[in-house]
Amino acid sequence: MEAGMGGPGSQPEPDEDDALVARSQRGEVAAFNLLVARYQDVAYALAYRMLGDGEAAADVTQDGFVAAFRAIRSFRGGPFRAWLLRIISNGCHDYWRAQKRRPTLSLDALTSEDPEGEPPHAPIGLLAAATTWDPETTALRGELIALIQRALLGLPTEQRLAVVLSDVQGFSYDEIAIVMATSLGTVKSRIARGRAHLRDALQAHAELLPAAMRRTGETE
Amino acid sequence: MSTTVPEHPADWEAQRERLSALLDGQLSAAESVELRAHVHGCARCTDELDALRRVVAALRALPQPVASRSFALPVATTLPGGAPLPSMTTARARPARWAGVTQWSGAVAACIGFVILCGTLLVGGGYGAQNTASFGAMRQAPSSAGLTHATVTQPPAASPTQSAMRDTALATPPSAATSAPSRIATPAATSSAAGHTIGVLEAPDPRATARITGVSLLLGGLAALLLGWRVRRRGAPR
Repeated sequence: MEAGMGGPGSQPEPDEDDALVARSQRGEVAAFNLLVARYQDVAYALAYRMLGDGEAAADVTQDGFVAAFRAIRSFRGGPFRAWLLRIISNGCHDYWRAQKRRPTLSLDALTSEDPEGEPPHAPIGLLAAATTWDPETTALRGELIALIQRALLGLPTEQRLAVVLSDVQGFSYDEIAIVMATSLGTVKSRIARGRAHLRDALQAHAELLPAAMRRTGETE
Repeated sequence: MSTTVPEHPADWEAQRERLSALLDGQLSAAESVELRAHVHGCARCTDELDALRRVVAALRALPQPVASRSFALPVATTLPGGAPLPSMTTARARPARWAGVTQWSGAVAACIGFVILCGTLLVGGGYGAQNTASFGAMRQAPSSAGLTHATVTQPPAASPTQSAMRDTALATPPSAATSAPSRIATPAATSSAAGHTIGVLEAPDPRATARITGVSLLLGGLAALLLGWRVRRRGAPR
């Protein structure tokens, strides 16, 4: 299956990452900012898909980079991108915990799906306004994008994180396991469950799916 | 081998996980062949696989959101517990904390010394007149008695002779001590038997002591004040 347009594209270059991380561990902000420039898009995209709000995603991403720099000396090797995204995902969890303590929720959030009894999540009405992309390369209409984002926000956070990393960002199972600090079997299960929930959520709006997505039959 | 398996596996959750993993190429070659064969003959698995594929396609077609700002850290950001970065060398260095304490302590000491000094200059009295006479006598004593007087602030070790002299001197009123005086902190004594005057009963001059103390406090305080001020000024940016 081809990589999605929102995927990370090429794999990170570990050697360059290691050199930049080593310099960052010596306190060189300039070196760390090269890592920021390299991974800020994927970090922001993850936060955005996890939260469904551009401003909140930007705040979580910024806080995540600051936290990553302050904790850079505790980084003990491995893929830096996975380590960074783990910090970002933790920031998303913290954001949700803070949101749960707030009594006000929008109508969109109150009507969103809740397959496993989790409380509804943030509104997604600003989805289109909070992001910028080339409309010519956008394969889905705005309604469908909002529908998918709404369905994502209806997932339990662990399933959402696994699905976003796998199907939106195009990460391997191994890297997802590192980000989520869990086993490959758990990753596989969370992805499968998340996809099944999304299938149910999208099934009611099959008319919004493009013809290519409605086509049945294995194409591998 | 079961190329056509009409029966559906009992554990549907596990089967769905395998179908999901098949989409991602996470199964071994043997598992993939076996599952494909099953899917080919199982309508439910075929529908499930097709539905999962549509979900994945929809997710991968989502556009990539782009933040409208950079997340680069300010150059002044420092690691916790780390040394200041080279780019921060122009930042204001914090002066030593003791410099401020020294400066204030010096100011207080200088003020106290000044007050004491003024007090000794302004306050007069019997002690002043008496001391003037004593000083005059003291200046004459060495030449007349042939002894070298010394300013002693602590009594010397009491030998039997000195103890006797001290006892003698105690019996002598201060006004009778007309021979060579000596500025001894403890009552001095005269020895008439030896024909020499070796000491004078006289208390230490409190005004002179206070004056010395005041001057010391004033000068020391001013020095501390100046030192603290210079150290604190050295910490400021140039």
